[in-house]
Amino acid sequence: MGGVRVMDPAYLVVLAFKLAILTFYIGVLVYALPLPFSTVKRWGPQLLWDGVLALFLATIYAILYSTSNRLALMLGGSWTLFNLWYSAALSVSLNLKMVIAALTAIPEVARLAGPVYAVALPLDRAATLAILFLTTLAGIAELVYNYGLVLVAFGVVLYATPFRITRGAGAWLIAFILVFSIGLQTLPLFISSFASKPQTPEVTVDYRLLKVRVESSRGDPIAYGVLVLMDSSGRVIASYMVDGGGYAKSKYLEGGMVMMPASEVYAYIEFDGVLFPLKPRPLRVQEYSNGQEVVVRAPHIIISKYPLILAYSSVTNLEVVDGGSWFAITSYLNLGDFIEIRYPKYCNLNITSNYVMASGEWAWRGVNGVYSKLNAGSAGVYEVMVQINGCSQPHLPSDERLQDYVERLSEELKFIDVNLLKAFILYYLTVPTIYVFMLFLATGALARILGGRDRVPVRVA
Amino acid sequence: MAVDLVSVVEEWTTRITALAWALFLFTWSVGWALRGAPLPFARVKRVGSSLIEDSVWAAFWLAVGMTVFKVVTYIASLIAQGLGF
Repeated sequence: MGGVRVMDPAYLVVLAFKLAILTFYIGVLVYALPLPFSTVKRWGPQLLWDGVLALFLATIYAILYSTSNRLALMLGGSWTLFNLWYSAALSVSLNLKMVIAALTAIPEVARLAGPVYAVALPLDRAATLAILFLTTLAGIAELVYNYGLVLVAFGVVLYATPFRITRGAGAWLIAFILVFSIGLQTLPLFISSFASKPQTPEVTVDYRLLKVRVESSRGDPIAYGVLVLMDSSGRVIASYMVDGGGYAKSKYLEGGMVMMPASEVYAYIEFDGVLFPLKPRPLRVQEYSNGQEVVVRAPHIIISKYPLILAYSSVTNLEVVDGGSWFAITSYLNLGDFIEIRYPKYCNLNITSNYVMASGEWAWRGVNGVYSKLNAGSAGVYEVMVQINGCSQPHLPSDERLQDYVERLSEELKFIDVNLLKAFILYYLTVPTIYVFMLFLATGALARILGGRDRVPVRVA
Repeated sequence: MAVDLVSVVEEWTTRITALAWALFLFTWSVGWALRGAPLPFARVKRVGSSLIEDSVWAAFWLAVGMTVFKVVTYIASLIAQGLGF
């Protein structure tokens, strides 16, 4: 029985009753002692009075506890209010920490962010402190909410122990539960009347740094194309220039990495003025880890050769012979299918085929070029043969209006400034700390009222 | 076997009550013995009277004890009723 019953308030109160009675009779015993010393005799009335007071407290402990809850309700507080405030505060702090971690993880982003970065470090520390403080507060709240009655009963037991051995502790415990059950329930009211909630937009800054290689269907790098990332509704999230080796590159990041949002994106390659979808589709960026190499492939691009020579088709099952400076494409095409060759004007190509080819010009990112297109007039086998005679000084596409995700991210983090830091510290640290400090002071004062002098009245000398 | 704390405290209360009654008788007798002793010291007689007085108080509280607890419980229940519990 012993151990289990310690958590039962009814049992604790019976114990407190018995201890109070014991205290009372010890007082009587001291009265009856045949010793004429006033130092000893003084214990008598003291212990009598202690016993009566402890008994009184043991009788009304439940009333005290429910009165404190009732008082909190009357003041407009409740545990629901506290829990709502707590979870909101915790999620704001955690979100802020994640944003700042994302920001500071990459020095390039941080450099770009400038003033944001200057505030990020103190804000991160404030958020850490706030998280520690809030979880401690939530721990206290849980203790008061779940074990309030037991702890008050336990306090009464301590209070009733003879010779005032644990009377101070008991009085403090009772006072603590009473004060904190009122105080914590009304905490959000207090805070919101002294400080305004800091405005933090919901920013998701989960991203991955990946090495992305863009290939044609045959595995050739699509050199100097533009990798475009879109969301499911077709909005451009980011765009990157692809280098000579087929890797997307960022202006800000080193090591051939590009930044992507950790969500599903749809990748395209813009090449010679044509936008080709890339596989896998969609690209689940969140499934990759930082630094991983991702290969995206354009199934419709048959050939891509430096500089900017492109052969693509509406079909994907083609027979290709690539001889370096020449290539031949053979395929069975249905009506409406096509094969198209594009190349910049500074290159000289000889294109022959077994069917008539339309031709025209294109311009893309400052590069002018020519195309030849074979439109299948009927179902049949079509052949295109291309001979590359040579190119003069290549002119590469410009990287204007590219949208690096790093820039987008740092733009989204502009809300991090000194005002936010100030509001955050005031709302989540300063005011709550003052309040909790006040609660502790009130606990001490109430404990003194309940327990009087908590000194053990035994004098040795 | 685990010992129940409540019964231990109860046991001690019984013992202390019995001891208190015994001590009351003892102190009361000692007090009267000192007070009635044929000694010409006023101090000794004063100690005797104080012992008698204290022991009578002890007997009083021993007798009243149960009543005191009843009164406290009654007051507490009055308060509870007043607050509507």
